Order: sequence, then structure tokens, then C-alpha cells
Amino acid sequence: MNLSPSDDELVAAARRGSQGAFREIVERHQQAVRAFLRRTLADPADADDLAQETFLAAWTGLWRYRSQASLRSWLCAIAWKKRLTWDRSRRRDRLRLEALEPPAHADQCPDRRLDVGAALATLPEAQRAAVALCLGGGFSHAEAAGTLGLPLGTIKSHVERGRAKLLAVLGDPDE
Amino acid sequence: MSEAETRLAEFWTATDAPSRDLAFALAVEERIARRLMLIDVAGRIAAGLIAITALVVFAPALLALAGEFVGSLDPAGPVLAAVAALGAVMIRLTRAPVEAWLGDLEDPVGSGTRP
Repeated sequence: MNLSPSDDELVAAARRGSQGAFREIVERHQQAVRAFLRRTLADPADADDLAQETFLAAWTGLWRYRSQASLRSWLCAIAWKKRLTWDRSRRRDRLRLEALEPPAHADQCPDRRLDVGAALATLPEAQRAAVALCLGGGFSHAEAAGTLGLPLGTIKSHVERGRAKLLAVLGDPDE
Repeated sequence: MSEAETRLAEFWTATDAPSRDLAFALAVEERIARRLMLIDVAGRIAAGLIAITALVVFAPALLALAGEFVGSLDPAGPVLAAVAALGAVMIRLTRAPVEAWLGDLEDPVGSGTRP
């Protein structure tokens, strides 16, 4: 017999102010959220920081959660929005820095081989997120579509093309 | 499974987070506590500002009311002071003498050895 409460029961309890229920939500879903962010960001520390921000935003907006979507999907959707905002602010910072000091181009080094993270970083953002969710996180296409706010067909093509690109890059890095 | 697929699978494993992480849960709770504190402080500041604004807005009316109240007390002032003084005297007179208290303390059983 399974005695652990469902996600909906935990959400209801957390809405009533139960700190324990919210902690259980965090413990239950931190793995999915953190792994998703770690696969779409270069630095794991940044990913964990954003994951904490994600759960803080979830706590603030728990009343907005509707049980039609899975809680995991809803949390990852928040994480994705945070990730996009973070990316925009990071890009502004980088532009400011580059104005002061021109960047060194890594691809000028002929011996540099792309690792998987770098290969993943070559994919467009939405494609990378779809690949990270479906191939890395075991999300269904429908769940990933709900998370990223994209049509199901787009997710399917993102995953298929992203996977093909990744395997091409990883399969023969000398080309 | 090709080498590329193996590398990809290894990457998914390497970037996975632990299934349970108390430190992470505590870090989230700390952020929530900090947010609650900020909300509390902001609420108090807002309440203080509202109170100050209300005081500034209603100050002339309040001062006028206070002036009227103090003015109405003026004739009754000496009477109130006299009643207070009389009350103090009555209380003093109805109290047992201090010596009796001291005597009780020195001879609690009342043996009569004290002159």
C-alpha cells in the first residue's frame, strides 16, 4: 500500500501553509528541475541557483497551479522561464564585458574537441530544452510541450533533429 | 549502441541531480524565510507610512479636538487634585503602623519579649 501523498494533496496542504508539504514537493521534484537546468546551462552552480529561484517562485505562485498539468511539468515550466530571463540578463552582462575587452574565440583552436555539453550548447535554445527534457529527463513529448509552451509537433521535431545533430557532432568530432 | 550514444547517455547520468538532497531543500526554505521577512518588513514600513500620512493629514483636526478637551478639563483640575490628595491621606491613615509590621517581623509568634 502506497502511503505517500499525491502531488495534488501536497499542493493543497502547502496552500494551507504546511511547510512540511512544500518541503516534500521540493524533495520530490528537485531532481527533475535541477537536472533540466544543469543540461541547459554550462555551470551546475548557476543551475542550482536558478532551481532554488524556481522553487521560490513556485511557492509564491502555488495558487496558480492547476492539476491538469503534472507538478513536475509545471515546475520545469517555471524553471524554463527563469532560464530564459537569466539568459537575457547574462547576455546583456556579456555584451557590456565584451565592450571593455574583446572575447577570445575558442573555436580558433584546431585541437579543441566538443564535449557533450558544448555540443548541446550548439543547439538552438528551444531544441536544447526539448532534448534535455525528453532524452535526458524522460519527459513525454506532450509533457515537454506543456512545459515549454510549444506545439506537440514542434517538440517532436525538436527532439528528433536535436538528437540527430548531437549524434552527428559527437560521432565524428574531427569532421 | 554507438559511441556517440554512449557518450550522450553518460552525459545524462553525469548531469543528473541526487534523488534526495536535504541541503538543497534547506536552501530553498532559507530563501522562502528571507522572502517572508522582506514581506513582513515591507508591510511594517507601509503601515508606518500610512500612519504617518494619516497623522499629517488629520493633525489640524486632532489638535483642535485635543485643545477643546484640555480646555474643558481646566475648571475641574483643582477639584481632581484635591480628590487625589484626600485619597492619598485616607489611604495613609487606614494603613497599619509600620512599627506593628516591624514588631511582627521581630516576634512572629507574639511571645511579648519586646518592650
